[in-house]
Amino acid sequence: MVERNGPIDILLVEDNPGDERLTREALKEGKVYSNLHWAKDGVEAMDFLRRVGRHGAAPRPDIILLDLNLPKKDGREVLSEIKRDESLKRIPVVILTTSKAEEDVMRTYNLHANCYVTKPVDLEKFIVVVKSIEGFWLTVVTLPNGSR
Amino acid sequence: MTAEDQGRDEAGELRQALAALRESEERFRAVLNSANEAILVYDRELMVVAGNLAAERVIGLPLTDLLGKPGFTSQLPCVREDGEPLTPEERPTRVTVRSGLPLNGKVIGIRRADGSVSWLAVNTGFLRHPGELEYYGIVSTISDITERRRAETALRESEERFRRTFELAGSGLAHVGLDGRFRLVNRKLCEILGYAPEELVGRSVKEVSHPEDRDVTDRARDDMHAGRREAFGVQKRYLRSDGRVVWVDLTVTMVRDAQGKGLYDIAIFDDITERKHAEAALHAAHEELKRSNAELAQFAYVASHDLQEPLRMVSSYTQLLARRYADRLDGDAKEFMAYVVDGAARMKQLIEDLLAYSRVGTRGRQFHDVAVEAPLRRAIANLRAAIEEASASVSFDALPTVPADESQLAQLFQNLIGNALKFRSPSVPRIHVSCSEKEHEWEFSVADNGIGIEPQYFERIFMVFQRLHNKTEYPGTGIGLAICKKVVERHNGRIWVESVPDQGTTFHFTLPKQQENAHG
Repeated sequence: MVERNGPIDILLVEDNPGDERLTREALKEGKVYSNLHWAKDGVEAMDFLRRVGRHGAAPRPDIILLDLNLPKKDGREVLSEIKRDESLKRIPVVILTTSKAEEDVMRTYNLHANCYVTKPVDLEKFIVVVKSIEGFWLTVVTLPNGSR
Repeated sequence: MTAEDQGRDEAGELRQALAALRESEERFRAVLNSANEAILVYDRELMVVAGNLAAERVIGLPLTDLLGKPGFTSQLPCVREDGEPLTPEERPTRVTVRSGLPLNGKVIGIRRADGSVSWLAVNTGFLRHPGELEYYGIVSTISDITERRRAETALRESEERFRRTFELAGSGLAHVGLDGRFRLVNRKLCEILGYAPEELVGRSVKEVSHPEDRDVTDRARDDMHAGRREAFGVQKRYLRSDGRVVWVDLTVTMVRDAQGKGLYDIAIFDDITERKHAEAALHAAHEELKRSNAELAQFAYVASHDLQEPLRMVSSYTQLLARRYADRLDGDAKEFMAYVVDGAARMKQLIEDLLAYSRVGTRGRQFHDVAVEAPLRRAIANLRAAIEEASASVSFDALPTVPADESQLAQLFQNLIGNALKFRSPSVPRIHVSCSEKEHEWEFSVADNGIGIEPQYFERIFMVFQRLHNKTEYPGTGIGLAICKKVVERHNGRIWVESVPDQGTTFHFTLPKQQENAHG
């Protein structure tokens, strides 16, 4: 296990402010030591990752939480761009889906997401999910070659 | 010259004359006898004085019976052409004498002993000495026309048969000349095209064809006329006289003479307008169904996603409120918030179940040969906790291999066994899966000793979101058996239930031994 000093930098790619706030609150409730960065759509997510424009000073996130239904550029495109970019492809990506059905559809694209999480209706469960992201990140970064 | 000489000479001349006469008569007789027609000679009293050999054959009496009698009509039962008996006044000889005119082709029948009729054509003529007006006899020539009449009758009947068949046929029929014009049309064709026969005959077929289909038969017709094909068939449109379009299934062949030269086409027209419209309607309905199914699948997906977003907001933020502000909320507020959260959770379950139901059809896999025991074991494994909790025993017989979607079979067994566990009676649940072989299918049974179902609900339990029990007694949305039904029906099987309340329930379903084509 690797001990971390600072907070985990999380990039949340999500168009719904309610979800953004909920994730922030769940991280707080789950006492996950983290910085949550928010990109409202796929284009902004890529700008953040490539430090374009006002994101010039953006940190490299430790993990990306990616919603699928995004304006401008959807989650599938974002994922495929990340996985094709040598400098970004090792960042673990957790796909947030609304239903199992959506997850099944996504799996058929075989885009090498690291993990799929269906957003629970229940807050308690959501807090568990958010906490598990912390655990998941720690597991992933301790693997010999990081993520794939 | 002496009188004696003279007498000798006269006797010689007479002898010579007699010899010449005899010779002439023999020649005449030979000619008579060589004739194919019967010839009878009558004297002024209309008695037969001579006849030829053919007369015996044609009339059927020896000449000796005829000579000295008033012809055959007096000796044999004779009939007129219309079949009525021939009266003596109607005998050809009497008619000839009475009218003073020869007869030509007078038809008389002789009724034979076997009931058949020989038909004869009789010609008569007067015999006169040269230079005399008065006749000394009648000659009658008689030919047997029985065969000819039979052939004529057969031809007439055949023509009549053809005419009636042609006219009354259920299909439109036409003879079309090599010039492409109607020569003969029947009633049905006139009906199909909306013209009177006289309007069609002489009109070219192309003229009544739909402009777009006018030339579609050109090549086939040329090939047929050139002898490269016997016939052809095509579906094409015609324009009725009232302007309406009529779809016709057209079959054309041609008639040639003995030398193989083409005479005319025979065309058969079957009105398939209604069939075409029905086909089009069916196609449209099929397309519409496909579209609406796709829309439904899309709807299920959208429902699963877009309905859950706001649901999650309602539920999560209510819970967040409860979590953060618990100490500032009174009992009522907490109870109300609990209802909000519970409602949202139940709605989510309904949405998930509806989605699962719709996915039986849209996300099913191809059929493979499945040893049914495998999905059954998987279902039992998935239900392990519930089985242990109920201390239930689940057993099964030897099960066959069938073409199926394995994961859907697992779902089917899981829902049926899960159902049996859920609706158990106070006694220890016993669930048994068995199978029996039918001709084309296997019949599976899942039997339990649970609370049973009243017969009036046997149909209703398979409907979406139909429940028989209060939610607090038996939780669930009521989708399980609806999914079972959909899975079985996707496999072209049937599902039904037998039950005795308080004793148990047996679900039966069938799976075909073979699937016509695998479902995607």
